[in-house]
Amino acid sequence: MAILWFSLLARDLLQVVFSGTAIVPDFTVLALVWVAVFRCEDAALLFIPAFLAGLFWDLRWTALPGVTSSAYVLVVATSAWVWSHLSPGRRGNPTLFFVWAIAAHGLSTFLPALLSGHGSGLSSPLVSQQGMALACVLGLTALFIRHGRIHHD
Amino acid sequence: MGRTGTRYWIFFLGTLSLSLLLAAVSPGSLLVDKAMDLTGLAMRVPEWPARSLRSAVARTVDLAAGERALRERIDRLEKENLSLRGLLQTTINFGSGPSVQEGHVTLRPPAAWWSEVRIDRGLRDGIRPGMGATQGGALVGKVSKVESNSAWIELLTSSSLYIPVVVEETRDLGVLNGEGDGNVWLLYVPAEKNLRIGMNVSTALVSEQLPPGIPIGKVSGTGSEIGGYRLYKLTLNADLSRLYKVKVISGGKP
Repeated sequence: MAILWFSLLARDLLQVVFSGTAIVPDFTVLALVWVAVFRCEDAALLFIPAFLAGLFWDLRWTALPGVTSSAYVLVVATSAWVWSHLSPGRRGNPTLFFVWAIAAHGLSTFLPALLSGHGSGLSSPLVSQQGMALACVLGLTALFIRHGRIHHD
Repeated sequence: MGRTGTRYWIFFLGTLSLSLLLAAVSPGSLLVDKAMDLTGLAMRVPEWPARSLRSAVARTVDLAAGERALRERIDRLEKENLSLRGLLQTTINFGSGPSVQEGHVTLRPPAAWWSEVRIDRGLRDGIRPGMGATQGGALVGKVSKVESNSAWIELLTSSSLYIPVVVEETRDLGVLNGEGDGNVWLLYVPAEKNLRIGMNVSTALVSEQLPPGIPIGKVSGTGSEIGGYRLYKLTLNADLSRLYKVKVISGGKP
């Protein structure tokens, strides 16, 4: 669970550094996907940390408490549900992990924009954030493959 | 498996409903404003290295571009300009003379996008309610609430802000008011005045905290006539879509 709080702090600090320049990718949702995938059989205890992490982000940056937390809770629920229904052989599929991590990041970016009724369009900072997120997800997928190999060996 | 599954759904639905409930009731809540201020205050310490890094990078970039000297010169000229405006108003006592405090925008609530922003300057920096805030020398709004380390600025586009203004070319007085959706109107100008598109609008004498003559915008369109008065649409000089820093005109008497 430490990975979740570390990613939240890292995102907050990077957002301070790039404030007014760029929107930092949502490392927290990627950490939540990672944790939920590996703990899909017992994901119930992930909901409260996901809710608290989203609430913190809302209080610090979006000014709409509950919006990011609902996105995080949905991501945890969907990740755990999907992975727990996969056969053990398909759980280590890197393509599936990559696609789902990208989709989860998109959900956590665009759901708050849609719920707040502001900026639902594709603005240039949002597009560049998705581009940076793609690079992060590729790195995370590489870690996922490595983790799978070590586990397999 | 059954118990684990039940627990999963209880936690999922519980946290999701709590999130959605918060999202529904939080906009405009004073309690949430306080919670946001507290979160910002609590994060000042852990975020200190990141803020220092940002400032250091900005200083380096400024130096490399030779922009720092220019900014200081602009600040000095703005200060001098404000003092001269104060001197021109013989009925006003500006005390020690207006000064300028630069603040970064730390929060712009999406639910009140065209109404207010929060900056990282407050009572400790001499900010008081009623003071004007500018961007690039153009007025963006007035300070509405002040905490010890932060202040809220009500934007010109807010529907609850009324600012007395003057049309510089004709010296006609009117009142500026926003619609809350990004549009700004000039009210109470007699219909027979026929203002032209492109005429400049600046602050009229309002209070000792908001000096007259601060540029606001230009007349960009003509609206309907109501009760012998014509509405005029204004285009602001300030770019509220890129509002990252503001300068608060402080130092006057309340």
